[in-house]
Formats: sequence, C-alpha cells, structure tokens
Amino acid sequence: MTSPALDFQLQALAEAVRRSAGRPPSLAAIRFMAARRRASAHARILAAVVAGAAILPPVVAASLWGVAAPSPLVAGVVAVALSLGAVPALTAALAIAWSRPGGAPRQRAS
Amino acid sequence: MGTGATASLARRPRVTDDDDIEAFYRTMQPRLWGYLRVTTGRVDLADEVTQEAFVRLLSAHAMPAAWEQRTAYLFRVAQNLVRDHGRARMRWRLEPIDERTAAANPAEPDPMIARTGAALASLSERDRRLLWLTSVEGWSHRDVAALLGLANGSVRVLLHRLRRRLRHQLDESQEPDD
Repeated sequence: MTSPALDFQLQALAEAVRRSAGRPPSLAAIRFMAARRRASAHARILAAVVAGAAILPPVVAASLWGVAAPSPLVAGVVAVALSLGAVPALTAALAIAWSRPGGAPRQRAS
Repeated sequence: MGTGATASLARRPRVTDDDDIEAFYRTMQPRLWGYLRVTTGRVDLADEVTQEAFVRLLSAHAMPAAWEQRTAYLFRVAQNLVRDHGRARMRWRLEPIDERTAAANPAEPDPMIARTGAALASLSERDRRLLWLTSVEGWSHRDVAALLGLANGSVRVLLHRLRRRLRHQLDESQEPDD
C-alpha cells in the first residue's frame, strides 16, 4: 500500500466516523451552559471577597485592641473571640467559593 | 497547525461574532468528536468531552479570535478532560470502530473502512492521536508535538514508523480478491 492510499483510507474512515455521530447539541444549549458557568464563576469571586471582608475587620480590631490592651492575655482572648465571630461567615463563603462551578453535576445539552 | 486543512482555518477573519462562532461550531464539532471517538474508542466519552470542551471555550474569559488558536485550545481542553477521566476511572475498554460505523451506514458496509478502523484500534492511544492529528486533521508536526508533549524531532520518526506499520498491517489484512 502507498502512503496516499493510507491517507485516503484514513480520510474515508474519518468521514464514516463523523457520520456515525448522533445529533450534536445545539449551539444555543452550549451557550446557555457557558453563560451559567460564567455567572457561577462571578459568584465565586464575590464569595471570596465577602469572605475576605468578613475575616478582616475582626482581625484588625483584635490587633488594634492588642496594642492598647491591659495585658497580652486579655488581648489574646479578645482576638480569638472576635475571630471566632467571623468563622461561620468565612466557612459559608468558602463553601460557596470552592463548590463545583454550576453547583450541580455536569449536564448534557440537548 | 501550519499545514493542511487546519492551516486554512487560520486565514479566517478574526471576528468573534455570532455567525463566526456558529460556523466554528458547525465545522469543529464533528471534527473534535471524530478525533475523540477514534482516539478514546468511546462514543459516550466523545459526546461528553466534546460538549464540555465547547462549553469551556465559550465560557473562557477571553476566547481566542483566530480559528487556529481556538482549535488548539479546544483540542488541548479535550485532551486534559480525557486524561482526567482516565485518572478518575480504570482505563476504558476499546469499542471496535467498525461496529459503530457499520451500524450508522447499514446500506453500505465498507470492508476497507472496517479494516482501517480495526488497524487503528490496534494502535496505542498516543499513536492514534499522532496519526489522526497529522493525517486527518492536517496539523503540523510542531503543533502535534506541543499538544502531545513530544519532542519536535521525534514526531517525524514516530509517524514514519507508525505509517509503515499501519500500511503493512492493512496490506496483510487485505483479502486476496480485493
């Protein structure tokens, strides 16, 4: 067999394989899924910002209080207490931020 | 993708309007699906990965405007998805290509296509990719090397051996009356 003959056979196979594909998903469906994916990505960025905003004030407040605190022990206790207040908000925000894009299993477009 | 069919894609206008994306999808969807169908040997995986690759392309922050770059992006994403799938599960069983194509074309069962499919299925996954991208998709050796993580010079050598082996295999499988 010659090299062009091999190429011809491979092209014939490619055509046959492509013909064997079912009906492809519509571009509109693909676009819809992509738009939802982008919206989810934006939501995750927002969640990360919220998480940062939630954790930062208690930490800053604790640090400022630590400067003026009567003793290191009191400063430490106040810092921990303030930071603990941010933990639920931080946990929730991180859970959203790290969740799978779209928040659901991958779907097949129709 | 400096040669062949894919090179002509690069000469398309660099416009990212709806018509351009529609045309790109119509052109590349069957080509990517065919590539995945042959290289992975699985229809369901080809369906899923093709769809997911296009979703990722369209949801990309900055989708490449040139068809050539889009095509490279698409195939790279598809390859990573297949690799991730392979890591997540055991290696899949290879379905014979000729069965599906014969089912799709019941009126014209072609023994030549069946033989070529069977010969291709006997190759390793990497070899199938290499052969398909160069011989069917018309990619340059440099682009194939980049996608498959091979040394630039080794593609030519591998391809030469591969084509010789496949030709020999097809010659042997050919029936006397063909």
